[in-house]
Amino acid sequence: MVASKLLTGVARTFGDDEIIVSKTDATGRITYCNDVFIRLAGYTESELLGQPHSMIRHPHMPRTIFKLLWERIGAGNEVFAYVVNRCKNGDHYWVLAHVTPDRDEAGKVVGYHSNRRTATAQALAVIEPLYASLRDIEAGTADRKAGLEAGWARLHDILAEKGGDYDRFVLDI
Amino acid sequence: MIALSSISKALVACLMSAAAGGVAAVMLAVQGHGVTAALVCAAVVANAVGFHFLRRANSGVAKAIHVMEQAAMGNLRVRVLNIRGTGGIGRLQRSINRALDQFEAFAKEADAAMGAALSSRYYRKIMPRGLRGEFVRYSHCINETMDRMDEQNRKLGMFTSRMLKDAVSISMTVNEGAVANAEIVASIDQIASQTNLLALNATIEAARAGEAGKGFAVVAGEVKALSNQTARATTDISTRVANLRQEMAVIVNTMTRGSDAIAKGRQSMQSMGGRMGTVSQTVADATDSMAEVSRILAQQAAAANQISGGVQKMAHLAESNAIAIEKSSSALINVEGEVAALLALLAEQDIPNKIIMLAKADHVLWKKRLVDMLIGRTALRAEELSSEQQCRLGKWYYGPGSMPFRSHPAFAALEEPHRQVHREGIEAVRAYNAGQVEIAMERIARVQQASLGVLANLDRLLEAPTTPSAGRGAF
Ligand SMILES: Cc1cc2nc3c(=O)[nH]c(=O)nc-3n(C[C@H](O)[C@H](O)[C@H](O)COP(=O)(O)O)c2cc1C
Repeated sequence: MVASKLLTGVARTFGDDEIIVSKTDATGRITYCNDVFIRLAGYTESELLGQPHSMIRHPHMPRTIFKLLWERIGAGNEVFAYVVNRCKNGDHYWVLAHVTPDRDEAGKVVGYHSNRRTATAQALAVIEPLYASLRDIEAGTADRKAGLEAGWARLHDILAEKGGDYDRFVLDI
Repeated sequence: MIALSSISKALVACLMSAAAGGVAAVMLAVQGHGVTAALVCAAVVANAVGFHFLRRANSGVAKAIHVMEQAAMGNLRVRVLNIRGTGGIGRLQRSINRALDQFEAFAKEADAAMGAALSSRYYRKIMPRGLRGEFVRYSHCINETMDRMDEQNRKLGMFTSRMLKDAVSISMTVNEGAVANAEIVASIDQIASQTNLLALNATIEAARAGEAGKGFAVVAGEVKALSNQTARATTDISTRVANLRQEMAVIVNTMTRGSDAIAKGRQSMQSMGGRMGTVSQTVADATDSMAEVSRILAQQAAAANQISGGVQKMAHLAESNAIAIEKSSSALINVEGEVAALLALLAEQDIPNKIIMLAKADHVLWKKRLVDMLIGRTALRAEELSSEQQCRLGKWYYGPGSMPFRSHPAFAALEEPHRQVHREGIEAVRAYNAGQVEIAMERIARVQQASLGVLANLDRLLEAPTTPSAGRGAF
């Protein structure tokens, strides 16, 4: 697992007319990933299927954002979030992820779905410093749980300054 | 397997050819054709390899069929998993997944955008980035529609809130008006009941005075009739005001249910317009009836004055009735106070021809002061009484306020009796102060006569078809 922590600092990109798609079961294990996903992440399909989605988690992602993500989709809502992912070889790629519950014909949630689009440089100019500050706050306490709570509080302070609506904030930048 | 696919048929052919080849190889070996048997064996092995690949292709196609069958049923969540190779079958499977990725992404976006529009979050549009071809075109089309919905919704919202504000301010004005009306009604009520008392008193006195009190009794009867008329007018106003209030409540209620208004938009606006029309009609009606009441009041005051004239005569006829006269007169004093209060209230209201009505009442009160002097209630000096130019009617008559009435014959006819009222009144005070009571009484009788002329001409003016706003702005 030491190898998985390696970061090259190399950014990978994909086309504006491409979407990176993945699906998970209700617990977050990957049940499908498309060819764009496979190309960017650098894993094979069989390496990815059945694994937890945190397999491509990048250490720079604040935990606060994933807490927000799970809270939203757990309540049956859609969520947009800027996410940086880590490739198998330590490269990374930024995406604007849209995560939604997948429902069967009866309306029951059977898993989750994510479409990821390219992130604009303009958005990243806002997001990267924000995530860096959240990460610092999260790491600022000895207790992991307290760190997450502090990050959560900070995010909501920032949102309150910008009008209080996370969706508007994330779609407007 | 009733309907076999081409691949399945090829698989069956492979099996048959392998079986035939196997049998041939054994037969050739038995017959001692070693080389030929080995060749046939090689053919059988090649056949087996072909069979293997054909089977793989068959299962790849089967997976694709399974996914597409579900997609054809409207399930966009399915995908082909464990795709192998870059050959035709692998490409087919990837293309199926890509197509489903596009379909599902568009469906999810459209779903989210429409859901957001339902709760007026028009900023949540379809994100066309990552979509391709016709999906992009459809996305732009839907987004444009949402922009337009947003704009219309904003306009409608602005319109509704403006209407709501209007309604609230109208209802406030009407309420204020209603309070003012209620005050008027209350004071009219009071006057009516006091006039009734007065009439009762006068009737009793007339009976006591016998023959001499006959004229007095007639006046008393008239006063009673007037007070009944006043009471009727009062109820009339009350009902109208109540109706008006109710009508306003309905409007405000209608407008508060703003969310319905968005759906029923135009329709409710139209009916709203209708209602507004009704309301303004009702307000106009209420104003009319207030004018009517104030005219009745003026007449009533005149009648009250006649009573006081009668009372004066009675005082001369029978000194012994002095106490009774004093009683009636003190009731009159109350009436005077009420009339004055009413005048102040009337002055605040915007009623057409207000000035003329006020002038009538002014003159009644003016005459009453003369009578008060005669019965010794007040002392008057000639200098205290205004000339015909200085009174409220005079200021109006000789000022710009009367412009719209000047061509009316009653206007010219009004001047002489009005001048006479003032001249005779002032002379009456002079005579009374010089101790010539008889002369003073004669002059007051002339005041009374002239005053009838003033009132009659004023009434003609009130009925004149001049612009109804003629009386406004005179103050
Ligand atoms: C549909 C779906 C897609 C997800 N995509 C990602 C992703 O691209 N990158 C990522 O780091 N986490 C993703 N997550 C969140 C992970 O499940 C996980 O919460 C996150 O990686 C944090 O992992 P941790 O809780 O182990 O720290 C996704 C979750 C779901 C349900």
